Amino acid sequence: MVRVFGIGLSLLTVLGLAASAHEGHDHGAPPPPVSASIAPRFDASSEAFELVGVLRDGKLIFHLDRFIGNSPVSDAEIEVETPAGPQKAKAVGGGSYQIEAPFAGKPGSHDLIVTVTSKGEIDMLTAALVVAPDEPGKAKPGATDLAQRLPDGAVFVPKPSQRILGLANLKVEHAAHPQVSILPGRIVPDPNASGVVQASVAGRLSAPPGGFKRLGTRVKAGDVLAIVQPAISAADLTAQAQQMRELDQQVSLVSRRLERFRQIAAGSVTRAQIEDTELELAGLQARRAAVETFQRQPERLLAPVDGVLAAANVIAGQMADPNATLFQIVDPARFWVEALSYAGVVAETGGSAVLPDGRVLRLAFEGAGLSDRNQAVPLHFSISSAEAGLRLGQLVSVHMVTGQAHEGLAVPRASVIRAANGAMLVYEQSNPERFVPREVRIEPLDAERMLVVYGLEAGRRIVTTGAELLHQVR
Amino acid sequence: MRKFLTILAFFSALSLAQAHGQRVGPRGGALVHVGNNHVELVTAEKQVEIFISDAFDKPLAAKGYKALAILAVDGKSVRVTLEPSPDGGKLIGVAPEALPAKVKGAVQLTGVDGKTSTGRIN
Repeated sequence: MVRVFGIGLSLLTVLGLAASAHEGHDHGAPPPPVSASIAPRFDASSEAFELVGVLRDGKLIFHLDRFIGNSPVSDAEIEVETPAGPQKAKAVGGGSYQIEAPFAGKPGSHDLIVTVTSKGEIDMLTAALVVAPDEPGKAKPGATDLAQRLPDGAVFVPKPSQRILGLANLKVEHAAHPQVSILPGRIVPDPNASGVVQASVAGRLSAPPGGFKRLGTRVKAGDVLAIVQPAISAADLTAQAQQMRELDQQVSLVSRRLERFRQIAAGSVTRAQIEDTELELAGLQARRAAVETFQRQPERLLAPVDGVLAAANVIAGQMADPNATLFQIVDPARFWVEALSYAGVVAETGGSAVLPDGRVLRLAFEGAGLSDRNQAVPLHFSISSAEAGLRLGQLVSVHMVTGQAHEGLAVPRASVIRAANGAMLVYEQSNPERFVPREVRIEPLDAERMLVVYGLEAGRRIVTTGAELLHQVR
Repeated sequence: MRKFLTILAFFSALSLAQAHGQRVGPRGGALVHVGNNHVELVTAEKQVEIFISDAFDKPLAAKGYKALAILAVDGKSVRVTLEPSPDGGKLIGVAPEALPAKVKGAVQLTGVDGKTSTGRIN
């Protein structure tokens, strides 16, 4: 029993020690790489900052960045407690600072306490700078440190190179995300904020007072956009002339008859007969006048809605066909997106659309058609986020929320890289200058993000911007 | 035997629970790992005290040690040098201003052999 207790006690001690061993240190992160071609360096991190110190030419250069985001901190004050006493570091721009470090000329481990103050935030970081003794035949560090892939597959990228590559990171969190389907779509006009202008008769176009409006002009409903002078064909002119002559003949006949009725003594012709003849004459005269002016009045083409001229197919003197679209007016603030759902998935929720240039539009569901179009159900979405520079017919990828939630870690699309062997990778920033590729299983999430469902733990820092460049390091 | 295993499991769980948090020493101060030792930092108004123990938390005499504490007070840093107390049980120092009960900073401990090591308090 005593022996068993003894073993138990040893185990307990080991457990206790192992558990409390790394207080005040990084959480079990592997040490930075040691390579003869890389200058002596140390790194230290806190919840707010991460710091890299590099010894070169008797100077200790500090690179200070945000722990989350990896953005350089340029406005900090750094005070270093060196073996030779406290020293204030001089800012050299771009999140870098330096001190003279004669103490580091001596090989060995030099303990440092670095006090970082930035915008009311204060942090103390502890580190040890290890300087190896000079040995004959040993390679000396180069003038600059080069990014390199390490034998274990991790990538070492010195801070100055990280800034050139623009590497940024993000802390991933576990959450339930609704699933999305990706559909092909295009930009269409909002039917309540767009219109076309067509001539109702064939005719010759002429400019309104002030001339034709140029493309992109903002117009109001009722503005005159063009004038159509109706064209009369030879056959129509002959028929019109014939009709006018017939009417002239009838007018003279009826007017003679009326005259006769008036001359005949009262009693032989009733009053009603005279009145009927008067009405008949007035009717014939009105028809004669109408035939004369018919097809001679120009048609004014008016803007049906407020908006911007999106298309104009007009030129002075051009013959316009009836039903031909002369102008198209759209309201650029009120575009819609039409998507085709081949799987018949219709979720009456919003979604997002990605433009070919990577911009993202927020979408709100408007309606879905019941009839097939090319074996797909058309879906309409209105664009709820204001976005300039959209044009009609532009192709987009619509990411529609289907309502089923999936658990995982959301990472930006730019974080996920396809390796040469086809595996999907994300890069984890395990140390300030060390990036470890993690093979992951992913699912599409939305226009901007992918969902990591396997291969990565929550709380890790994942490279977002610059992951593709990082992957090229050999 | 069963009782013993239960106790063992309880203590293991307790130790693991502390793994990623700051440990609290017997005097209520932050207990951190500095070099091969454990150091407990206790503050009371301007007074700063450091108690040194070995890796198994067995108290060590402060004679021959000295320490430097850099502590964050109201967004700026305060430097306190500590010397052994007359009774040799701890290192003591006086801060230029009153310190909060829970303090953040770093400690540099210089051992009897002149070697220094540092620890972070957060």
